[in-house]
Amino acid sequence: MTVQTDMTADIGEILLTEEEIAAKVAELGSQIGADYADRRLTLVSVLKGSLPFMADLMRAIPVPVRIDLMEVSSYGGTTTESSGLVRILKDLSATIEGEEVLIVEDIIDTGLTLNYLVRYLRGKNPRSLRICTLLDKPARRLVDIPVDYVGFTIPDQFVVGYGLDYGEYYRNLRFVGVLRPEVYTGVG
Amino acid sequence: MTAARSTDSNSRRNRRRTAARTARARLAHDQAALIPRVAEGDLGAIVVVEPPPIDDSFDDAGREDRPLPSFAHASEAEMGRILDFYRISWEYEPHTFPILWNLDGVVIESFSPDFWLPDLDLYLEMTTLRQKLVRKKNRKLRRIHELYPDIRVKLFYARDFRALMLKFGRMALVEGLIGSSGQVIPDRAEVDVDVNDAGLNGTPGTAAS
Repeated sequence: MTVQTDMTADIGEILLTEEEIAAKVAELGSQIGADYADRRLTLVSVLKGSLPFMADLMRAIPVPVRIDLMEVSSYGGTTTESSGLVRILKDLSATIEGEEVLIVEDIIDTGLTLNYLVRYLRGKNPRSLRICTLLDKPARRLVDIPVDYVGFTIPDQFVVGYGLDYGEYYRNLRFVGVLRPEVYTGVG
Repeated sequence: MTAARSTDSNSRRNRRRTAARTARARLAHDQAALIPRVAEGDLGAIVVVEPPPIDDSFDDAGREDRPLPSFAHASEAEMGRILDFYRISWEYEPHTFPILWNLDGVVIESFSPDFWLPDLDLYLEMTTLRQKLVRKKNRKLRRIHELYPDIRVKLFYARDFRALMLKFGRMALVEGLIGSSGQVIPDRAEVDVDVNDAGLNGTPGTAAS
């Protein structure tokens, strides 16, 4: 794939501006803060796409939080997986037993990874386990998982930016945009 | 700058240097106390501490060695692999739902969704073929909803399949897996070779949901 030096040239439409994202993150942070008032919270983020959202959200939550990061293999990487099964590539660095845990996701579409993650984390006996996502793409859902906090419900388009990638690029865009189909079809 | 101020400044600088030297010496002493002493040249004595293994095999049992069914279409085979990867239990066309009977009560049309996902209580029907067949499947699905309102069937169109392949960095395979060309089913090894050739799998993806 070829990423243009001016990455914005590969973006067909800006779906969410930097300002819209910031306002929504602040709103989610307040809501989560109210729901977890007088409690401590562990935010668990999944590398790599959730990093910008996690960094902003944790600062918008007014209750004490600790953070942890996980990395999970995806289907695209199966040729390097001997078992052909999803695996935890990076586990939690601290126990979550008895803790209030909030999974922080950048986007939920099929729900396949999240379904696996939820089952894995439940096995670690947290006191509670909730889910927060910046973006929800319900049209793509295969596994229905109740999501507690949703930033934006977006249409069925391939989006990049604010952590979301295509071929590992575009994560550093400050907005969420729709990638031009020519970029991934190679046509045009 | 007067001589007095210059002396004062030098004195402060010397005190800072002395404090820094003391701190470095204290740190080195503390670290030395923590690290087991290893005789010079005796590198074999260094113990490499591995992180504890990740036990994520909580539902591996029986998933890997079962025989795969004879899929009718390559997109179905790919979906089976995706479901396996994400440890979603599935069965291939296990149930058939009658949707049309003649006047004698004999079933003349039925519908067998491609996948049954028992843990999710969901049927998946892959519809990646020609538009004419999509219309036919849409009609069947409407009948299913009328006759069996409690069952959940998700129709997976060619565009859904494309989006899934795009998400997993396997766009180069799409045209071979959908439509009439998808009726020749490549085996797993061929698919993986194709992905590598397409240069789309260089960085094994980290997950998105």
